[in-house]
Amino acid sequence: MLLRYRRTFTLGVKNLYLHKVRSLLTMLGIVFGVGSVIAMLAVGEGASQKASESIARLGSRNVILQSAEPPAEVASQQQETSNNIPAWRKTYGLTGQDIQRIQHTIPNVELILPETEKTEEVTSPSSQRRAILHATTADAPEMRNLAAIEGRFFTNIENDRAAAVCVLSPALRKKLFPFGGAIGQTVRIQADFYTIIGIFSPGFAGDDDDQAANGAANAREDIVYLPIHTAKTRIMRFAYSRTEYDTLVIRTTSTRHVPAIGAAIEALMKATHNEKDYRITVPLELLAQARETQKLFNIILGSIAGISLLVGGIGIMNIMLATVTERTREIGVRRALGARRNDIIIQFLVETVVISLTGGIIGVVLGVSLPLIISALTSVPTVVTPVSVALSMVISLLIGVVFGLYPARRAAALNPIDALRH
Amino acid sequence: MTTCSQPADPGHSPQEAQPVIRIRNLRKTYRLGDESDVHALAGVDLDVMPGEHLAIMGSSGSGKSTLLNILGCLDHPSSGSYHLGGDDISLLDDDSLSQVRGKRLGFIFQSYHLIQQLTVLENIQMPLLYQNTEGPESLARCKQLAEIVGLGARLDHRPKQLSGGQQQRVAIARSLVNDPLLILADEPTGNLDSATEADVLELIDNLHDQGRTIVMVTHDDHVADRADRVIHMRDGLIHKTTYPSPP
Repeated sequence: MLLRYRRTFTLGVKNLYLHKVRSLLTMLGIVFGVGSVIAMLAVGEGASQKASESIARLGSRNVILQSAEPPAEVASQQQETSNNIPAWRKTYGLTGQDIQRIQHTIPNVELILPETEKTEEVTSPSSQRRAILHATTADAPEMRNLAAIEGRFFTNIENDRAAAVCVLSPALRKKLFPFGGAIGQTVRIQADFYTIIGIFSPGFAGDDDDQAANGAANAREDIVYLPIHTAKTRIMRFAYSRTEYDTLVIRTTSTRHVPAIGAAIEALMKATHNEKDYRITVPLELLAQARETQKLFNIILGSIAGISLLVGGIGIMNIMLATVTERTREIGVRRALGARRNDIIIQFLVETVVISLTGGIIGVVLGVSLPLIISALTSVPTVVTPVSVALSMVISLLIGVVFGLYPARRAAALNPIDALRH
Repeated sequence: MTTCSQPADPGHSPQEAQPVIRIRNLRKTYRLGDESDVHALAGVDLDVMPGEHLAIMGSSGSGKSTLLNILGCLDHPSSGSYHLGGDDISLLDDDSLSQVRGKRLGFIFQSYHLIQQLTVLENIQMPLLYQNTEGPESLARCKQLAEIVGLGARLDHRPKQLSGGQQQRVAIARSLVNDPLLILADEPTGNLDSATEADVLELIDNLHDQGRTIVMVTHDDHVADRADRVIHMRDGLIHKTTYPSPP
């Protein structure tokens, strides 16, 4: 029995080989169908993973609060408010009180990282630069994934004492101290001198590539990290800022508390702020949303590629129908020599399945290498998932069976006498 | 199918008394329009004994092809009975008929009907493919048959590379590979010139001498003269039977 199927199989392959050009052209539909399914899904998956990564970088355990100018004020910025305070001087956004409230009323909050940023001239003995002053606490390296290059970050004690210390980003260090070491040296910001105690990189592994590709991101390379208390006591722009904190990163003890804490913080903020002068971001929710969108995106991409698979299948059916007509006499001979209808069906199915499977395999090779080429030539990330490879192989097998069945049945239904006379 | 479980051993069979073919009142009617029926066979009775060489003659439309098709289990009779080797064939379904063809019948066609993409050896093996009886012994047997028909050196050739006479000899080898109860030949020399015709007829005579049962349709008197018995058909009936004397 097995031997017979092996013979039928080798015969099918042989028949295809005898009509090399035709088989190849027939196969092409499946090749491109499978190839495009895998490539499209790879591009989709790549985009999805990139989105997920950048969201995950915000921290899946975190809830992020940001100060935002209340909308009403934006519209009437030049007008004076009822309190006779000019709108441009009115404070808004997140305050120390918010930190207190969250810490005291919401459970499972592990840590709150305050951040606030200003742009200011930074002067070294040899150079001067406009840089971002990033005021934060000692938890920043851990919470914001800052990578130590040299030295150390400032401590909570230094923050409490408003010590005149700072940490530079590698890019800024290179500009301010092109020759020799920077640790232990001082930079001047406004009237005060600050001792450099460390070099910390804001870069994430993935971000470096992006920045290299995208010149605009260079603007965010020049950073001075300062203890927030130091900044507020020593630097005017921080002291007289309209917002006390730009950002509060609130870390929860576990991801499973995130939705509840997010909701609780939102409720708390709503109850304590008269205006909506803050923005709340829950990375975990963004992630879920991004995945949802990506799923839809993948389905659309996949179905477009699926249509080309369908067209390939119809091509197979078309050729096989022509083949059946062409080989009517052979079918008659086989029937006369003892082939049952099922034997004929199997013979033709073998041919379509061999076409579609071979096409599928070549398509997989194409589909796996195409994303690599795309990724190499452009900065579009691609990820070929094993599932998409398996899926398209199964689909190409199914196409062989489904679109081969009708021609095969037609071949088998021929009356042997008529077939012989053909 | 149990009816096929006993392949006959032609020639040396003890069932000498039982006819290989037993046909009674066989009719085949084609319905052309609503009213007009064409009686291709109008009640044929025929017995063919083991080892007999029967020739069927008749003009076209006489019903000889229809008779051969029914004998070859390629067509169903409209009525009447057909027993092949003692088993009633007229009741079998399509799959069983395929099995009967594959196990008990050998076909030789006018236009050889070899499969072009297969080699000589593979063509000879073809009937075995559908019987699940392939194996080393059967391969040896196929080679032996090719040897007998004089094509032992051309096993790997394709039909296109062979002359008409050679192709027909491949077909003869193919018809023998399943050791059939009955060999059906439909004008086996119709496409051949007289020199190769003689070769092929010689081969068929040899089969007859070995005790094979042969039914052959032919137009040619001198081909028919080699048979033991000749039936002449006309209008779907056996019109007359002659017994040529051996040459």
